[in-house]
Order: sequence, then C-alpha cells, then structure tokens
Amino acid sequence: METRRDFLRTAVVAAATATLGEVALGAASKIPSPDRRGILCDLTACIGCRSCEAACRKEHGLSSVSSLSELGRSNVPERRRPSPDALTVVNEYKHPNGAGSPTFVKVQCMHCDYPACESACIVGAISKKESGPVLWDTDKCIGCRYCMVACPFQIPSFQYDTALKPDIVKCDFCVHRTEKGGVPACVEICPVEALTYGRRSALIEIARKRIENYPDRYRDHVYGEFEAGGTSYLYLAKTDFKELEFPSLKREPMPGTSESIQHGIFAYFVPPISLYSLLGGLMWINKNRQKAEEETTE
Amino acid sequence: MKLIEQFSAYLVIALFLVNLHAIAQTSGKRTNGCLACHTTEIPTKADPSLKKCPRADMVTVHASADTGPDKIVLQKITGSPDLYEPVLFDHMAHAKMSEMSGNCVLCHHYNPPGSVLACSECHMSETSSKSADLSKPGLKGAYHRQCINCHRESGLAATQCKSCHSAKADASTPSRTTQKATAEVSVTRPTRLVFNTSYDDGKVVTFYHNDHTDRFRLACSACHTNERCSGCHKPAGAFAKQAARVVGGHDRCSPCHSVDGNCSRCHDKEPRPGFNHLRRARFDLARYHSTLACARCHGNRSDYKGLSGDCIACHSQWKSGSFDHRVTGFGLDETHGTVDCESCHLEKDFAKKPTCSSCHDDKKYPDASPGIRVRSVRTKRL
Repeated sequence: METRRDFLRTAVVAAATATLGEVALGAASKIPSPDRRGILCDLTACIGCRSCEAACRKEHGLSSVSSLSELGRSNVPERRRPSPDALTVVNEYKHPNGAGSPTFVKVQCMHCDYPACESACIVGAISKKESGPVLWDTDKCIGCRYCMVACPFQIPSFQYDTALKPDIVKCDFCVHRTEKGGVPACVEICPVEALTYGRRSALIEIARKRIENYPDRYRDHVYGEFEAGGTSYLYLAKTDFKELEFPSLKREPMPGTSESIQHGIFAYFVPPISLYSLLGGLMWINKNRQKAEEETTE
Repeated sequence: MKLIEQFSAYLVIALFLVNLHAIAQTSGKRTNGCLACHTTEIPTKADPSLKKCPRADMVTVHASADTGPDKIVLQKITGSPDLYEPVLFDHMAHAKMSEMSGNCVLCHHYNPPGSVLACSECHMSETSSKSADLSKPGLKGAYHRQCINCHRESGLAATQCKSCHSAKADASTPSRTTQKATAEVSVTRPTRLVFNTSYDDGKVVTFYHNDHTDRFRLACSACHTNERCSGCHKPAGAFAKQAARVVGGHDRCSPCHSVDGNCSRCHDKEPRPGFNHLRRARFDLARYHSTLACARCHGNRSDYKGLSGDCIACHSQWKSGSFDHRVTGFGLDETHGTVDCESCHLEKDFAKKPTCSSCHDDKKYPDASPGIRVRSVRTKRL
C-alpha cells in the first residue's frame, strides 16, 4: 500500500521527469474497460422503501440506525445529499399533479467513467478502477477537499465532526463484495429489483430495450449513458431528469477541459521559461537603465 | 481392375456428398421458420442477424377468471433471515377485476400462445443481478413490482410490508395464509357525474352512476373495460376534487343509448334529476317492482317500450277468484273476495283509490273497509 511518503517520493520523481519535457497524460485520456460494471436504477420501479439506505449503513457500519423502522419516512421528502452517515439516500419527488404517485430518487456516487474528483485530487487519492468503481484511498488523502468541489453531483462528503483524522466519505460500489463475485448491498436488498448490477454495456442495452418496449412508461433518456462522459450508475425515469434535480451535463468528460488547459500551459515547460525570461529581461533592462542614470548623475 | 475399384470408391464418396447436400437443403426447407427470428436466410454465429423479438406482440392469453386458480400461496421465496410467512394471493378476485383492466395480460405479460404461465415459470428465484439474464427481475422482484405498482397507485398502503406479509412468530397479525382473504379494499363510486360538453345547445350531461349500477344492475365490466386500478380504488372524495371529464365522448354511452338524432335526450342546460320510473312511465315501481331487473318486464334491452299498466298484462293468472289479494298487503273479507276487480278498481286503474259506490251508496274507502291490512304475503311471482 502506498503511503503519503511514497506519494511525495513519486511526486518529486514526476516533477523531475516533467522538467525533462515529458507531459503526463490526463485522466481523461484513459479509456475505460469495456467490461466495467454498472448499476441500472429504474426509478419507475423504486417504491422509496429505503431498504438500500438501511443495507448500505449496515454494510459499512456507518450508523446505529440501520433498520427500516428506525429510518422511518419523515425525512424522505427532504432534499438530502449523501453524508458521512449515509453513502446513499432516497429522496421523494412529488408528482407534478399532486395526485399521482411520487418518484423516488436514490442518490449516491455515480462512479463516473472520467471522474472529476480523480482529476482534481492533487495527491492521487481517488482512482477509477478497471471494473468500474471510483475509490478513495485514506492513506494518500491530505484532506484538501478539492474532490468535493470538483464533483458535478456533489457526492464526496467530509467528516467535519472528526477532529483528528477526518475521511472523505462516499459510496465505494461495495468493492469488498463485488471482488468476491457478489453484488453491492443496495442491489441485493432491493425488493423490487429497481437496481440491477452487471456489465455497463449490457445494462445500457436493457435500458434501451425497456424504453422501446414501454414508451409510455419511460422517457427516452438513459441518464448516465453519456452524461459527463458516462457514469457507472445509469438511471431510467418517466419524468424529465431535470424535474428530479439531476444536473444537466454535457457529453464531454468533466476533467477534459480543465486538464487540457492545465497540462497545455505547462507543456514542455514553456510558461515558466517564458515567465522567467520575461522577468529576467525586465530586470536586465532596469539594471541597464539604472547604470545609465548613475553615469549621467556622476 | 484397380482403376475400376478406385473409380467406384470416388463415385460412392461423390454420391454421399451430393446426398448430404440434398438432405441439408431439404431439412432447411422443412423447418422454414428461420425468417421468423432472423432477418437473413443464412444467419451465422458471428452475425445472427436477429429480428426484434416479437414476444411483445405474441401475448394471447384469453382465459376466463373461473378457469384460473382461486387462491395462491406464494411460498417459493425464503429470505435470509426468513422474516415473513408466505403470502396469500387472491387470484380469483384479481382475475375478475382484470376484466375491467385489459384482462389476464395485465399481469401475465409476455405469455406465449398456449396455456397461462405462472410467474415462477419465467422469473427465477435468484435476482437478475446474480443470474445470467440481467433483463428479467427475479421472482421476488417480479412479485413485488406486480403487486406494489398497482397497489401504490391506488393508495392501498402496500408499501407497508405487513399489508401483505405477516411476520413469522408474530401473534399480533393473523397469518395471511390461513385467514380468509377479505375484501379490505374499498371501491370509491360516484353517485352523480355532471359533464360539461362542447355542445352549445345543451352543455350539461348528467350521468347517474348509482342508477346504472344499482337500478339498472349493470356489471362494472359492462362499461369499464380498460381502466387503471386507481380509477376505482382511490381515497374517498377523490371524485369530488376532479372535474368530471368526458373520456371517449359518445363512445361511453353509445353501446346502450342511441346517440343519433335527438340530442336533448341527454344534453341539457341544467343538471337533470336521476331516473324516475313513476315520472317517466307513470308506473310506480315502489314495493315489489323496484327489486326487479328492467329486462324482467321490458324484455330485450334495445326495446324498452311502454308496457300496459294492467297487472294482468304480466300477471296473467291474477284473475278474479284466483287472485290472492293479500299480496298487496290487504286481505279481502269473504264477501268481497269473489267480487269482480273492476267493481272497486274502476277502469282497472289500480293506482287510483278504490271506490265502493258500485254497490254501496253510503260507504267510502278507507272509512269502510272491505277487509283488513295484513303483512304482505309472498306468493309465486308472475
């Protein structure tokens, strides 16, 4: 396991190689594995029972409140974000007419194919795994919280109430389960199978088929198929995703633009060299002028 | 010699190959069903060129509710930990209700031609995420989706686990598998609906739902054929909130009522009162006749014409002498029992007050009574 010291060591080496004129390729240029996993979340099937919330808490030992009856339903209509206590939350969106059944939206890390948090992390504590999950490494993290700012879905949360060693907390796709061939806890518990875990490409096919077979039931949009370059979590819904407060994102990966600017301006060490040569030039001119002035006064 | 042997050997091989080819061709022709699923004559393993699966159009389940099972105990799924007793599903009640909502297909989707398949024939006990077929929910998911989708929509509080499941070793809730399934689901019915139509000379059409169900005794499925469950199962008062909308226009009424010609039969400027047989036909249905079905007197529904007000028109055996007057709640004494009906009921108008003047000058009904009031006796009808 890499530690912070290891990171610093590699950072120094990387800086040295960069001065030699080698540009590190951005995260956006990595092509995700075609075999990566995802979760299809069918919001038309979700009944908002919060079993997934309870199972997630239990699985990660997050809170003493991990049974459905304890969770209750009082805070379901609130707009909640994942927190250090809950890696996933279910929010209720009333039917626009008021009379119809509400839509429930499960919110958690989307596990982007090109994660903005990974790109923003200055120490490489967040990484996208081959099989789909975006994971956070406690040993590398320095607690800068750049990932929280970078995330277009506002997912990573910070243990503000932990003084000594606060963590960044977010959904980990239950890697400890999936590595052993299992499925994430939320998927396993879902009583209506609104959640399906499997190969992302297969899930997209299924989602498309559902839309084709039931055009009245689904809006022709698989949220997450293209958003921000694609996400591991995919959503189907009847209503417009804007009404369910999903952010409208472009197809381009989030880190794409920022990384190309950042990497571009430092390419081949041009900006530092030009900056220092400019400053050096000014100093040299000033020095010459001073000398000339001194000569005239003398 | 050797040459001939060699030649004949080649000949045999050649014939065999030709035969093989022929067999292959004929067998291909015999099945002839490739194009049902493939877009090309010669699909390959690499490119099976499959058509869109016609499953969705193949559903042919048309069975009467009575041919299906009555109650089903859903006990194929055991959770870990196993918290709940098996669930009792009233198949008959749902099958009958489905006649108002698209029939068997409502639940038995994707049923291939032939017999009606149980859920567990297609939906396996393991969840889709763990099975090879990701597209199909497991049995538990399928059950939950099928039930909760409708029950949630109609506000039947089915998101409470205990509305279907009884917890194991829980004495407070009776076991659903043993208890008789009760109709704990109420149906909200409107009494009067006032439609605002676009017809200028009479915008208002008044529809009495209770007349149609109670008085005319129409089965729900006579009018409701393609409803959502929540159309009838909804919280009380929901009808009052929403304005009555004309769905389907004349099509809703036209199977029974003529919609050609006389618009004023239904369209009016004001809401109309409900059906009143006395006002419409001048015949009071009170007492015995109110419990009869319309067709009992009027015959075929398309031909509701006025009938004779004479009792004898229907009650052919009610002749003087054989008629037991007690059915009217009034028993005649011995002297009057043999008197001709028309002597008291002038012009055989039985709605009018009977008269005594045909025989008695000084008597008047009801001061003088030709008998006594009795509790009406039930005699053989008609």
